Amino acid sequence: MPLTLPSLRRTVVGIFVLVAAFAAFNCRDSSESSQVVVVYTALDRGFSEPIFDEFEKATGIEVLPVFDTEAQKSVGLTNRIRGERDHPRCDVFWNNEIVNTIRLQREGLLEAFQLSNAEKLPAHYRDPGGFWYGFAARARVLIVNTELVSEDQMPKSVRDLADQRYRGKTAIAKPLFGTTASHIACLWASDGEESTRAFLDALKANDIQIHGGNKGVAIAVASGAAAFGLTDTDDAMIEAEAGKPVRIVYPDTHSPDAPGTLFLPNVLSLTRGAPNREAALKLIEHLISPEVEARLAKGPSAQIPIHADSAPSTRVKSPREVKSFRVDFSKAAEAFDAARDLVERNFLR
Amino acid sequence: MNRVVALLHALPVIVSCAVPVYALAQSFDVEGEWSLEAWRNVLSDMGLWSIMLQNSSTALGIALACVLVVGTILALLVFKTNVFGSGLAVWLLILAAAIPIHVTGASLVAPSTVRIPSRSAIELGFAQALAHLPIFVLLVGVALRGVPRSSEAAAIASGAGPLRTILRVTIPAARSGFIVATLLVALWVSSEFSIADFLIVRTFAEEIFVQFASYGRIAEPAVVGFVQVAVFGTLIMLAREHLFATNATRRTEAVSTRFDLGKARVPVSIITLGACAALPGFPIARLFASLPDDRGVAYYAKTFDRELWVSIPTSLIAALVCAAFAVGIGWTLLRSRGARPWIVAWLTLLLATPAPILGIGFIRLANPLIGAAYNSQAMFVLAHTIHFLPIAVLCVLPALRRIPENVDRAARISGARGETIGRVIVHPIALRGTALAFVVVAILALGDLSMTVLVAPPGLSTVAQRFASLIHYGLVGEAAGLCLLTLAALAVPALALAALLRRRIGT
Repeated sequence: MPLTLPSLRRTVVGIFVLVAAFAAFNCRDSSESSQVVVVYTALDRGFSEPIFDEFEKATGIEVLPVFDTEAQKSVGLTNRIRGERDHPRCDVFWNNEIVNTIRLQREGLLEAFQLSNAEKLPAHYRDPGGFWYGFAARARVLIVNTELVSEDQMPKSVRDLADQRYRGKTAIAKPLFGTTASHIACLWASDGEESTRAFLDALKANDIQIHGGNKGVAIAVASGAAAFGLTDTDDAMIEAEAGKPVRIVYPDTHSPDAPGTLFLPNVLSLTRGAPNREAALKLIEHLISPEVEARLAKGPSAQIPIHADSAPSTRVKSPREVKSFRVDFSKAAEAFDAARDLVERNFLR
Repeated sequence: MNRVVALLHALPVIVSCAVPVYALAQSFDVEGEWSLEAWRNVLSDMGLWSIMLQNSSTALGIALACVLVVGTILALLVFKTNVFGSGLAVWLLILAAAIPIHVTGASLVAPSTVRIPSRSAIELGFAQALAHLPIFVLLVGVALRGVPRSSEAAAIASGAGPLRTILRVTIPAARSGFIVATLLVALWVSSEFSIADFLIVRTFAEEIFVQFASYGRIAEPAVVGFVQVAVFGTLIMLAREHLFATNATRRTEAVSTRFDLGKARVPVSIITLGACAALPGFPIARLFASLPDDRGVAYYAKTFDRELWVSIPTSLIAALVCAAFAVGIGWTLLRSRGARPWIVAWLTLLLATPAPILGIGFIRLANPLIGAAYNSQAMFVLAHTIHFLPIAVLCVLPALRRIPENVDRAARISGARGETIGRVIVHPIALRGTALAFVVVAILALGDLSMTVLVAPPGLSTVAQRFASLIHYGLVGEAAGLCLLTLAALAVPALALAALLRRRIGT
């Protein structure tokens, strides 16, 4: 039988016209305009969006962000930049941790640039070659439920997550993504494979709760579902300032021999072949400033200022106040794949 | 002109087919080289496969057992007995079916306070079953109502009781509906990742994202997805006669048998209506309970206007595109023997491919190929079209099957051209199916997370993405406001669906 396709000519043509009109109306080729900057940002949307709005008002440059969270699997940003390597779409990568930015740098996906007043940032938190600059850090802290843990029993180290007195009552975020994955890579870089493997085995044996993200850890502790857990300062502060029975402990600062608390700065970088380089540099200069750090410090995320001209936060401690874990971030980036593999094959099964 | 129209219809088929084919081909491509490295990486890890198979089969088994048992009982009660308020029950089921999966799932597994992730595939199975129960009941219900009254009457006249008639006549006669509903629920359960992610249960859908995050390339997730494509592709091909039946069907009798419940009518009616009310009522009540007192509709409308303005137009346009193309593709499936195997293969491939694989493949293909549209809302429209066009075709097929072959053959002999046949015969008869496809795709697109999360252009995000983000940050009140606004936006297509099904199933 011959093909008797019903002619939907008018309908189909109409649909095509509609879609074409819609696409034409919405299409915006960022490469054609210097008044647009595309930012891939891993910082929580609620914290970064007001800053973009402020930048837009001040400069007239439109900011087009792509947000990413652990809940959205963190597959978007670093992998998207990798996938777009031949046709870059992103101008600025605002990462909320450092290790994956260094991995992108190693893969040749970032472009070096000179930031004015770069020397105002601690040398440990900026790349000597100018590929990335850190600002507004978060600390990896223990959030402790004060109704479940007495003052004299307070955990002092991340290793206390394996304390058998709290079997099934300690918590950690899924260590495949975000700052928790970076933390494991930093432990690997600092203490080596065997020590990290033993630590993860001990956590597993202690039946540690694994949550979808650091926010989940903080909520679990605040509600009493967990006695204490490892999280970021921003998530912990929200619970503390909401009046929940929690206390924030900066781990591994209890003795001179202790390694110190891990501080992970937000990191800004310029992608190689960024379509809107000029606008991107303006945005980066805007973001790495005492004003933005102050705003992030005052906001609910209580980010920790590290810029030399920034006033210290009264809410959270900075690397100037507590001993900071001096890990070589390049080594952590090198160890990332192996650490992730260990987590994936041993810890999560 | 027919050729031009045929080419226009072939375009979305070819484009949508290219996405999974590209993604699966990438499983052999590691950094530009032909390699089996990805296969070795994934397949050599037997521990991983053991866990995934165990979790996926547990969740799937529990979900299917629940929907088959509870769903069948509920469908029989609502559609085949004389319970009071069966019409209201159908409306409630439609309302429940229109609630996006992540909203239902989150309200089921994520109380507004806190929960400890159980990593339990059993819990995942129950959550998925409850989330998919309404659509299962509706699909089976339509099939049950389509059972010829004469068959059941003959059984009863032969001395068979109502239960025996239902078991021996009604259910076997509606087996196509059962197979289609079961297969679709199985596909959705194994492809959906948001609840699995929340519970931290490693399933195939979850593993696709983990592999993508771990390796940063398509190859490994494509290998995981390939297994799912193979399994579901086989199942779909085995059930193709039920899914894509090409034979014309008689119009079923207008009034279907309703078995008398006798003295049990009142209590059974109360239980049935209660169950139907609980399906949409539970998540909606949870959402209302989570709303902060000091914020009104205006606040949420202003806060989420960008997401709503992105999600609603793109979902509706995608639905329009899918519905329009579905009629032509469905008609070609039914009338062109040459094209039929290709269309069946396309439908099978698209239906069996997990949404994250479609998303990963699409974004990689789109970036170099579609230029400026990559940064626009058109990405959502294209993604939804690729994802849901097969579903739209399934929606219009029953309506198209009602057109006897001799009708359009006679019209052609009388000199009518394809255009006239389409305008005079196909369009009017398929109108209800087309509208159904439009409504179903609009609802699915508005709730889609697994593909849109991967293709979102800069500066744009959807309602589903914002919801997931809010839940992640523990902003349950805000998320509840967004969900209620979304449900209000969905009320229009949901009411349209209700009106359509009301006629179709004669309640």
